[in-house]
Amino acid sequence: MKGHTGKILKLDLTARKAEIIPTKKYEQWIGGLGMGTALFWDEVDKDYITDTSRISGFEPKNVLCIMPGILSGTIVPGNGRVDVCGIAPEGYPRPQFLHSNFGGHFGPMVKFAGYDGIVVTGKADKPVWVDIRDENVQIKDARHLWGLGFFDTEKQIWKEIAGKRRYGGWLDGTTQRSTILGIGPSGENLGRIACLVHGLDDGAGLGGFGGVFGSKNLKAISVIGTGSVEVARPKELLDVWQWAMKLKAGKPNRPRKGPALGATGEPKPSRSVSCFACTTLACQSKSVSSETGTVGTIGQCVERLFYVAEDTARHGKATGAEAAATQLVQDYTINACEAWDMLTWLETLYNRGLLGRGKHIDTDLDFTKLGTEEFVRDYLRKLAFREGIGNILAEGWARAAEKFGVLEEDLKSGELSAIHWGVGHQHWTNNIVWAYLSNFMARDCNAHDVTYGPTLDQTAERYAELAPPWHDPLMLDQSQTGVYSIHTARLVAWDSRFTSMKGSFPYCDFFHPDVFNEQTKDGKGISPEMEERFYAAVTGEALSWEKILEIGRKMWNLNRAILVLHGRHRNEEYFPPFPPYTSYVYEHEEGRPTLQSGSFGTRRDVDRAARKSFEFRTLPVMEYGTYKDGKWSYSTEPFPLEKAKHDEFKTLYYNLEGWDTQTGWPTRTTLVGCGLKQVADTLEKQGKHLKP
Amino acid sequence: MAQTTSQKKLAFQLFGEGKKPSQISNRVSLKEQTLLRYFQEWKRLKGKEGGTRTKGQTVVETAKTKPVAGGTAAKRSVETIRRVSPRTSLPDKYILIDDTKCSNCMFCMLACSLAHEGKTSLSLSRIQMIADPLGKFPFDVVHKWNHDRSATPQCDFCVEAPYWDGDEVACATVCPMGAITVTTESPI
Repeated sequence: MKGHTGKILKLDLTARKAEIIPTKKYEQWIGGLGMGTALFWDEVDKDYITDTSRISGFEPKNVLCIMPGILSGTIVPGNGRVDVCGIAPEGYPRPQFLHSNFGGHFGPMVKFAGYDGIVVTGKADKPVWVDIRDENVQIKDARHLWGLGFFDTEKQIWKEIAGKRRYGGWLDGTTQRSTILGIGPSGENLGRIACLVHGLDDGAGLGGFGGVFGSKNLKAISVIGTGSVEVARPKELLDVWQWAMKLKAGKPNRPRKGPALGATGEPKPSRSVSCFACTTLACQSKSVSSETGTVGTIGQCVERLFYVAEDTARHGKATGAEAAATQLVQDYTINACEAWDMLTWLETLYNRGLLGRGKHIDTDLDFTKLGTEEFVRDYLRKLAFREGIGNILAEGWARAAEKFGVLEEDLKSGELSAIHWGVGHQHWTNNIVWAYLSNFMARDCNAHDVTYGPTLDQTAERYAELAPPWHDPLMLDQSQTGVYSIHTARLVAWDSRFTSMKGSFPYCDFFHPDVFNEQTKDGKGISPEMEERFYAAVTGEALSWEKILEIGRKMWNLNRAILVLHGRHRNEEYFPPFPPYTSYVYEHEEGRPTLQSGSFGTRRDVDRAARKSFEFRTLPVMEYGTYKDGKWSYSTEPFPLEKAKHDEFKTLYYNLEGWDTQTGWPTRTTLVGCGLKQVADTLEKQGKHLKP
Repeated sequence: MAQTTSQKKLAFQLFGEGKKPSQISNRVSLKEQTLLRYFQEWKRLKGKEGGTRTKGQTVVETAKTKPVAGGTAAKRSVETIRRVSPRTSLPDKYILIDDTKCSNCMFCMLACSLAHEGKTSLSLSRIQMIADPLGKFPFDVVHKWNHDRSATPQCDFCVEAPYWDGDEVACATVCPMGAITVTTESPI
């Protein structure tokens, strides 16, 4: 099929060899997350992933799929994402199959090199890096790279590739440097909080896949692609591109005069840096140089923000300590979501007198210096190199809380908001759908698919339009009855399908779906027409919105089947998903937001708001829509999520998906209906007896 | 069959008059794909007729202008390309690239290869934007333009790009940052 290159590269590190898997068999899964999930299912040892409470995810048997999508490398806007999936060590209470994704230029380069994805299995006996230059794949010695930060690793690899030649002109059929995905010390030291980083700041944060690279003795994968991605209808693609961009992108962006978020010092000339085929967002910004004199600061997401609150709280303004923190968290390849949440939680432990020299949690991490550069350097070094308390913290905050003996207490109080399977990024949501969806998968879903338009009527109408087969106009009802209704269950089901497919094309979460759009005459966004037209122009084949969501459903069921093998059961799908623990989510006390405006907030958020140190950290006081007596209205009244009603909601949802309401597992009929008969057979073989 | 042949002849004749496939699609009864294929064929034949392909004259000049507003060390590099195609009479044009505005999205390179070759590729693009992710602004992005003609074909201002019928050149049209502009007045 056009758009695909026809080959998937499989790296067996134990045997130190590269093999080719034909893409043909996996074309039905589109690419990216879908193809990655299917490849994982086929390649992994099923005994290994059955009951994952016995494993760490660091075994050579873990299979890591690094997948660009069918649109990667084309001119379709927002195709720069790459999905990484496999057993994630960070998952709590057990490692689980999940996916994380990153942007930049890695995915398209993999396509230009001639591959639809990379599958990594086994474990090298010594540290290695993989040098991919089109069809020439070499697994090379990386002992000299082991121990280096990620930036130095990149520089060293570029040097080795160029030899005596200089960058800036043509080298071996390209002007581009190789794109590198790799790890720093945190990954080498098997941190469950280690991420994979690419370029300067693009990273697959969630899951601890950096630790999986480390466990495989794999330092980095470097890719140069000089080939091309074939497109079925080039002229049509350019036409659709211009149509979409005119309506989607609006006016061209201009270089910013300095980092927009977490600004250090006075404005400076800077570059807005974007992923491959980004439209105008260029959500990252690079400044001339940072206060720390390093390569310049970049990034506008959590890695840029995680130390700003501490820095500004101490000094009254950002002094450069936050910039140093940004650099370091990326160089060490630590998941900034974990570094951030963990730090605020540790601070509460310190304030409660539990943490410090000679305290219950004995550490020389000096919280009197919180907010300084010295502190953050010490903190991150401990996390990356597992020094002192870092040895426990590198296991992730949920495991650390368990070790410190405060897990139960802190979950209940909300100091530890590890409600989404313990994986970092447990932040605010703008809809209850976010929370439910995260609960049914194995991580914070981080899917910004539900947005509000100019009016609630319009919003309700638009989502009804986008969500076949139900076309339900009441899906947006977030009232005290609405959040437990079949309407909300439908919206969760729709989002699970759409977000699965978004990771498969892939499309950037910032752009898709385009629900509302100020550039169009009626204010409506250009989804689903945009997705359908782009797909048709690239592949030459029609794929309707209904079909897209149908494939999404199939993916969601395969994902569920893998979780079932791990041990997933209805009995544990609560907030948090580790019974018998309970949490602040089901309680409502004055002054503590529980389910406010459809969002979960924690006590920490309230503290932050009080300090007014950092606006982005606070819970957004958003209005949510309620439907009563035939009318939509906004409300901001907080109310608790009731555990018994949440349970009833699960029954509704399982029924909707065709899953067994006793166990939460897909029934055989559902799996066979999705074309997953073999998956059903495998589940049976592994002792998971499905209902017919 | 006879009709097809005459249609092909007609198409070739119109191509010879400097028309592009999109401009003649209503004058010949041919499918779009067929028309584009004929155009490629015509270009190949045209090249052979002229014996060794004559390269266009290219004037490349680089000017360093004063720093951009608010800049400390920022310099704006303006490179101008002026060329005359051996086959088609082109108006004098200049393509200006402001490296300081580039966000490295690579749309220009993708549009170039897509418009000319019908597939996306960084190596087949006439315009080359080269980024160093660890470099310091503004020297972290530079561009190259047909410096190595053995590596990429030459820019033709999209006059002979079979998959492009926009009024402007493809790379400038698709740039979301406004970093590429086309002008008829010499910027130097």
